[in-house]
Amino acid sequence: MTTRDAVRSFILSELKFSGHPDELVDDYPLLETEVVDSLGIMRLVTFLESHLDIEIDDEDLVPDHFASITAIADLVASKQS
Amino acid sequence: MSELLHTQLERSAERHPDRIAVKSGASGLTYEQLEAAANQLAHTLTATGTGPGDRVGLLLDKSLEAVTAIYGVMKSGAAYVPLDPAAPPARIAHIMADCRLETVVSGAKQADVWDEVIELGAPLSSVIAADIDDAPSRGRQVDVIGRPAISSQPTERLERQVTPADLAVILYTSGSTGSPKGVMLSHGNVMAFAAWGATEFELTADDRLSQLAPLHFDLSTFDLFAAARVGAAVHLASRQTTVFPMEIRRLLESERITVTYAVPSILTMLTERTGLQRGDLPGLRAVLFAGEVFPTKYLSRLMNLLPHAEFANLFGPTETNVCTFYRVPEPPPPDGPPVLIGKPIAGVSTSVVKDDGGLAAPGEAGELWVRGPTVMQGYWPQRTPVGEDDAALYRTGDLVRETLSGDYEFIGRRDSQIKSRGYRIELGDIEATLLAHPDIHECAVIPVPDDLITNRITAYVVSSGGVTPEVIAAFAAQRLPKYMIPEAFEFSDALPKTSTGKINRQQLAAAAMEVD
Repeated sequence: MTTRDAVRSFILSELKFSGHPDELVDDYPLLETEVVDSLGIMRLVTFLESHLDIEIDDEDLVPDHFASITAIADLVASKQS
Repeated sequence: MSELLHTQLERSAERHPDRIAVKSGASGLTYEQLEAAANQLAHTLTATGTGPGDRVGLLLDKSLEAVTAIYGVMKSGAAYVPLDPAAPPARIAHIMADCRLETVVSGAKQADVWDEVIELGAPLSSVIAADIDDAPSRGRQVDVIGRPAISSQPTERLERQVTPADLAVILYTSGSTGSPKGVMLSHGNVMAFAAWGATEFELTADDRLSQLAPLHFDLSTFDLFAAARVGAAVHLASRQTTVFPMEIRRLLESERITVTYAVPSILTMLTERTGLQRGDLPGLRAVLFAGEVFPTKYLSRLMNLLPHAEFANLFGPTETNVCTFYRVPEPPPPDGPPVLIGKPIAGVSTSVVKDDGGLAAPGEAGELWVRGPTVMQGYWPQRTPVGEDDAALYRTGDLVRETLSGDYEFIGRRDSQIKSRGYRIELGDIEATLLAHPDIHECAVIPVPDDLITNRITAYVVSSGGVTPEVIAAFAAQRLPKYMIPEAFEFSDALPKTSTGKINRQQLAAAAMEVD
């Protein structure tokens, strides 16, 4: 499973995505639509750290890194390299 | 003349015309500018026929325009009804129909919602949108009043007969019957709280307050109106800012915030995920929190990191604004019990009443009853009858006990109301919504204690027709705000029952903890 798929599946099952799963494309805006909110962000970070074996610094917790599935995958890739 | 929430602004605009009243990101309004813009909006509303006794909705993101709208509505004599633009349209439409909102102040971004809520039964007929230039009414079901019409209005004050007993705001909260209830707060109610806060925490025109809570949340009235009372500045945090701990810290740092009022979950994120070091945020002199229990391990850590700041626990349901408060004298033991909720604020009287109707002695548990100027006027549209002393009584449903120091200790709720992320939630509200689904036959919604957000929600469901968690979540998402949608769904053939035939919630709660 790619990082994008893992993140998508987490958002669908855990973050109460209310639309049709097909709508959740890689560039779907996660913040404006509040798919990722103040609780969601902490759960998402916990998920990324525990399942993808990376550590996300406090400084990385910024909107640019969580704006879309693509942005999150890019953040994960930069942490894995 | 008695003071009103908007006459505070008028007074500050005279005394401190050039001071910043409100800031959002890089833009801001001085007191003089806010006063002028609010007056134009009030004239615009008056021209549409809005006046004392009316209600005007606020359907826009937190912004300079939203703050202008709050004052403009009150200056027109009407009460403002803040609507959460992110809430499902069905919930917005329900609130609009409930208190008959024909006019809203909104923005271009929410344009799709206007038609949607009308389809869903809202009585909306006019929209005031300061960020719309042309006349896009064609093809729409509403009259749109845009920038040209607003800016052609005079910037002078208009004379309106408004008294402290008139409604200033209606805040909708979770109700036990499946529908939100409108808490009616008068100018006098909100003023009693704001004036107390400004005095108690010695606010001056040199203070800079953060504004973290959404405008439909009762915490927001303190920041706005206590600041306006003294001519201080309010710094709006966007919804996105409050999602990211570092963004909250940056706001506090860059705007050199002196007083912040927040729900504990936000302060916990600030404590845990921003690399805060002892002595950081040196200008922050007061940290006020309310809305839920602050886990002592995080409160203790934050107090140790900010030894220069005073900390206070403000307590009270939306119906009473804040009714008691407690200054936390020193960092509590990290594994100790939650901090106390303290003593009544100035002008408010409280009593602790036992089940048999008698007053509880110190040390005995009972329900907290509140009487005084902060107590609401009633739930829309019914004003609560008041006693001879003209002060309304509110039975909070909160169980408390008086300690040796005379401070109250919060024990829990009498009913099935819980807190999550500072929001109050009636579990019955969620259950009633889920039961509206044709394939759900029985359900029980159980809170699961959570360190960060007080409670998460698990729904136990008996269903047919192969409904999935996704289907139920989507069904709920169309009717409930996001914080009320259960985090987890458990399906079974039947729910456990007590000997009296009621759903055995204790057994489900124990099961939910185990799954956790």
